[in-house]
Amino acid sequence: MASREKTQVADIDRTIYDIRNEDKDAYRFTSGLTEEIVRKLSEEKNDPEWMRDFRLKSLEIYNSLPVPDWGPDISGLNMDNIATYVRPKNNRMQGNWEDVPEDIKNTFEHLGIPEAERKYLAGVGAQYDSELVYHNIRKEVAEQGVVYLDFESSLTSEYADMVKDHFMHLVPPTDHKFAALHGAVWSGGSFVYIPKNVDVTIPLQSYFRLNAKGAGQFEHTLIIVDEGASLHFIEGCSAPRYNVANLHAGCVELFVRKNAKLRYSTIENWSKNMYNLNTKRAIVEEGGVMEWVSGSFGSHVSYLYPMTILNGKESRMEFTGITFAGKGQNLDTGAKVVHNAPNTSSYINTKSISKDGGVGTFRSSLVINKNAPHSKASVSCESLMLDDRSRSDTIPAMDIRTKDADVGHEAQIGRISDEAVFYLMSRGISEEEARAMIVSGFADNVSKELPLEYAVEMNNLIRLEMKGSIG
Amino acid sequence: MMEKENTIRVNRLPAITWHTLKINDATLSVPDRFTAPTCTMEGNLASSPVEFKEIRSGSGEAFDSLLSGTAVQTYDVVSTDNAEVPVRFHFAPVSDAAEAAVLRLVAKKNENLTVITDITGEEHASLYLQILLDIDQGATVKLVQVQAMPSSSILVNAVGGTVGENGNVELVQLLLGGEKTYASSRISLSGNESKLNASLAYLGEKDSLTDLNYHAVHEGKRTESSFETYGVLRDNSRKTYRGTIDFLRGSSGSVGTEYEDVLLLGEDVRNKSIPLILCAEEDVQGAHGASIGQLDDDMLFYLGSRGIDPKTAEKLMAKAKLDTVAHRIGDEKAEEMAETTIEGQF
Repeated sequence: MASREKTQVADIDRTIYDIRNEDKDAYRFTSGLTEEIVRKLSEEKNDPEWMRDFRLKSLEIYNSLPVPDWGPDISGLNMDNIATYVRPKNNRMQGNWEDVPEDIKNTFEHLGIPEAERKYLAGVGAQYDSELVYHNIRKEVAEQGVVYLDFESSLTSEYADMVKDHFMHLVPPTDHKFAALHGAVWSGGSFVYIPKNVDVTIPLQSYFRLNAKGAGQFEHTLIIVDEGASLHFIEGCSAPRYNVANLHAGCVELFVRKNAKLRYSTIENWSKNMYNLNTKRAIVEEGGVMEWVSGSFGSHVSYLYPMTILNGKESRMEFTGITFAGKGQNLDTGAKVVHNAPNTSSYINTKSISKDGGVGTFRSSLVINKNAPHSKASVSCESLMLDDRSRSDTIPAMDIRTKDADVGHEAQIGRISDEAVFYLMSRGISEEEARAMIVSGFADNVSKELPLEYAVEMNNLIRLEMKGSIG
Repeated sequence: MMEKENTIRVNRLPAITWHTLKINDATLSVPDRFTAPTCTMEGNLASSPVEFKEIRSGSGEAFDSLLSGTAVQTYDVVSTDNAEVPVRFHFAPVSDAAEAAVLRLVAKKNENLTVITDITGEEHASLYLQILLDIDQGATVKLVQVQAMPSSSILVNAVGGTVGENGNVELVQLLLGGEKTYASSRISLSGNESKLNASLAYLGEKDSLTDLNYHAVHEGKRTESSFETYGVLRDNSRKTYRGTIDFLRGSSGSVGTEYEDVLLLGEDVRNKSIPLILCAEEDVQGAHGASIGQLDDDMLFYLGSRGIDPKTAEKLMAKAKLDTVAHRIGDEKAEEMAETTIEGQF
């Protein structure tokens, strides 16, 4: 008799992501957050004066703001135990892959980054702990006028004024405690400028890897897509697992000009000791389009709600997200949108799966201001519970300030439908296979929005989780 | 003369969200001292002291403590064999008074009880009302409330209840007047196969504020809850709706649904809604939906093709939404009052 695969709910195979490099060769700041450390970081980065002052002001704000009391517990995060800056000794950012240090290169090779660059990316930035180790853009894309720089270089480049005018304007340090933390200790990240009417047909990607134990990563991503231009930007994140807390408090600011289009895709697969307190925000001008595709699989705790401000008439946004919360995870994810101009539209569509004691929360905020008549918005969230040890909550807020709005909202929470399983079984499919098929189908609308290689990776992750949902 | 006022926080969400949205709870002004309610009733109060469980209302601990710690008039009503005859309370608070009352309704095993409260009153009146329901196995309580207070009045209407095995509770509430209305309900479906069916209609106009917090707690197995809310906002009115379906661990086989339909008619209306589903149990089904906006263009076109102008169409549709709930009252006298009030508003 042919052996049958016993179905069981397994954790994601993290073999690839759990590669650790010894950080004996790393240059590392003392753990903690003080004015002295912030000044030292500013010196290390050769900041212009305005940036040093900005960091110090942000530190003041950080110390004055409370820890959020409305989300998952983050009492396990102690800034006294977090090193805010770690980099390989003698590190210099490289434009040639062969020049990247061997152990770091091997890590990114395992993650498939160079292969992806060769196959289907217009440019790649690879950050390892606090610094970029590699940054490159295809010649033909650069010739279109596309600017893709590591963030530090951008501060002294011909785009320095543009960077200064936009840096932390969308996400000011006063926004919340961890935005202030970012303002004080940011390091690394990318600056992207797409000139008017340039259509970048293949994606750019930044990959963030946090290798160091007990460290934080605070990269800043600033993207400006000028009038009539378009871009697909991909962000990937991972880290090996440690038994102490790591912190990610990055910041993403996206400017989508008139009739421009930006798609921002993220596959977040941090290790399960990570506090992921990331902030992402986009502002969209007239006729512009912002699309978010977001997959959250990793982290111990996540607070992640990409926000879009529809600031020009007839601008629109779409958010497609999936969150998979497993053992030891509390993932609080969702989206925010503000309609701030007439005839704007937004569509938020999310899926959430909780299993093995994981907690998944969908949290959203939809605001339609009085100056946004004839706007349309739709919020849809579906959650699937795979066992009775897990938890799934939906907390969608809507604030409508004009009568000329059309708002629809729907949410569902449930388990795998017995009727659907019965139907598939009546077609000769085993119960185990039927359940796995249903969960794969549940996430299908997200995976089909991703580039093929990422969709395959995401589906593999889900399939691994779902093998044998009846145990 | 109204006494000196303090403030408390009421109608807090069971799971809060961003404070910047100012949706987690509401601030309520309360006097140092309440006065006895101006109330008439039809039906019988309990003839002997009633043993009553500790039950929380939807307004929260601060409000519950305030009323329990104050010398507030309490009315106890206990089910009888003659369930066909409803017990009626008519509250008519007087100007510049802060009247308060507690109603404790007990439905004994396999018995039914219907209670109807209508609330009118004078200009600048305030009524602070707490209604607690203790529903035993197989018992049913139907609570109908019609509020038609003048546009300068304040109402706090806090309902709380616990429902035993196979018990039922039906809430039918129409909030049709007042300057500030804080309405809430927290029903614990503690017995297996207990049910909650809630229908709510509200009308906001002028500068009125309607602040709502409805919470169904599924504790027992195979419990069911249903919320249907229909609202009309005119002029500069503001409204916040918090609705929570809360599946506790162990509530397997339970089903909760929630639907909100809001018609926005005023140029300066503000509508906040936050429908929560909290789920700690796998074998449940929870769903909520909301539709918020003005009249559908297709509907306007259809009515226009029948010779009905847009203003008349708006009135027709607004009335129809409120009537949806009025028709569920099931009591001729109360329904007539609701219909007359709705008619008067349009």
